[in-house]
Amino acid sequence: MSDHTRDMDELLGAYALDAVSDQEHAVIEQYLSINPKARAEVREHREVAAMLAWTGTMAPDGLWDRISARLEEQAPPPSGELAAVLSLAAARDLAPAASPSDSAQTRRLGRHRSVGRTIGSWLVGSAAAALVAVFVVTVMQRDDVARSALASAAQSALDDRTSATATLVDEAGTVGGRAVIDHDGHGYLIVSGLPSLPLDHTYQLWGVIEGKVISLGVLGHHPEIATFSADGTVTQLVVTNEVGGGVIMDGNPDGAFAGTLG
Amino acid sequence: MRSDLSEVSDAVLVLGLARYQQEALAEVYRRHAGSVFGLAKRLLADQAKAEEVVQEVLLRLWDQPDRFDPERGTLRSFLLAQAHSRAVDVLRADTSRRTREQRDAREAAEGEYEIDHQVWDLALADHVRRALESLQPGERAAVELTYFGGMTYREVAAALGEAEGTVKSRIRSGLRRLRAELSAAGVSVGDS
Repeated sequence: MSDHTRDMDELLGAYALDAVSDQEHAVIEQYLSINPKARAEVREHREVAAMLAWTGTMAPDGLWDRISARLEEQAPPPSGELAAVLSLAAARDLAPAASPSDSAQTRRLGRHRSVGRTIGSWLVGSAAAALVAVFVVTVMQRDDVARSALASAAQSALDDRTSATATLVDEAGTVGGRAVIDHDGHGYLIVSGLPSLPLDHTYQLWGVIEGKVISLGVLGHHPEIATFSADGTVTQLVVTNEVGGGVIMDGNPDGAFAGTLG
Repeated sequence: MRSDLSEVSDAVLVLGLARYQQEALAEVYRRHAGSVFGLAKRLLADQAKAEEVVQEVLLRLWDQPDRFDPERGTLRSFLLAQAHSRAVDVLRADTSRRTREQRDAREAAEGEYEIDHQVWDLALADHVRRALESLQPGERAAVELTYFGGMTYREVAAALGEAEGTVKSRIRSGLRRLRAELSAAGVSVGDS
């Protein structure tokens, strides 16, 4: 173990309790991005701290009403890559129009409902759906070091015979990538044949769950490897090419890649 | 709707947030807002600011549910970590207040853990109290001054007249010992 590693490890407890300087915080964040063991330790420390914080205090009367009012006055903005895509779409007048009366609801439901509609029919008749609760919605693209770590983890999942895998192909039979979900529900999408998209487009990963299609994450316009999580058995995975996520489209999406897990 | 959601896991609730279900956020609030508020209030000693922290934490979860990764821990620990971080930011932005809080935290660390006033469950409180008592005095002070006092390990070292390296080691070993003690007592650390 190097001195640097030892020093970083020694700071993990203080980091978990927000007891380090801003500079140390940044260095440790970088260390955590490449060290799963350290991430696990921080997680454990925070779970212990959460036990200490178990105060039994009641939140004050009226606080929920104030929070709820904030939700009413402003629908949640999309974040991350989707926000960037939507921003580009808005700039090009690609965003859907909505009346003042239904704008908030449209924004809230637009992403899932619209794309559910676009690819729902495409998937009709797909596998019977045993299913699941998809845990996350976490899709990550990282720097080279992290990507290498992800690739290693994905390979381990592929090597595990208990994992479910799917090869995603389009209607012409072109392979877009391979997905694997291990027995703990950790999913990896290894892209091999998805062409780069224009900046105002993005690939999006979907899972078929009890016959419904739910977003597992936005992949960006040039994905290489991504992770997602699912609890149980996702029967199918689909990657679509979305024009500004959340934009309502008619018909099936062009160039979708789909695969059945098995 | 509440009766349905009251039975689901935190992870499924977050999935509901991703689909913009306000009922899911209401259920998150019902489960965790009290603890989040309690921690923020303990750190800030100010009800209004503690309420602001609760609002910020929940609205941030609403806006960015994908920031919660179940692989990195429970929703409860995620929310409390967010609240702690935010409260510490507020605390550190107010130096005069910070001085007072450090003094108060130091006094608190030297006194008894006020478990009787702050518990959610008597049995759990007893386990937590025993786990804290199992710590070496230096470990306990380091953990409490950082977590409940919002101090950095360097500030704790200065306050206690200890070496910085000693304090950061004590924080880490203290957290590990707490985890081991709680686990030995049958408390599943990490369950939501």
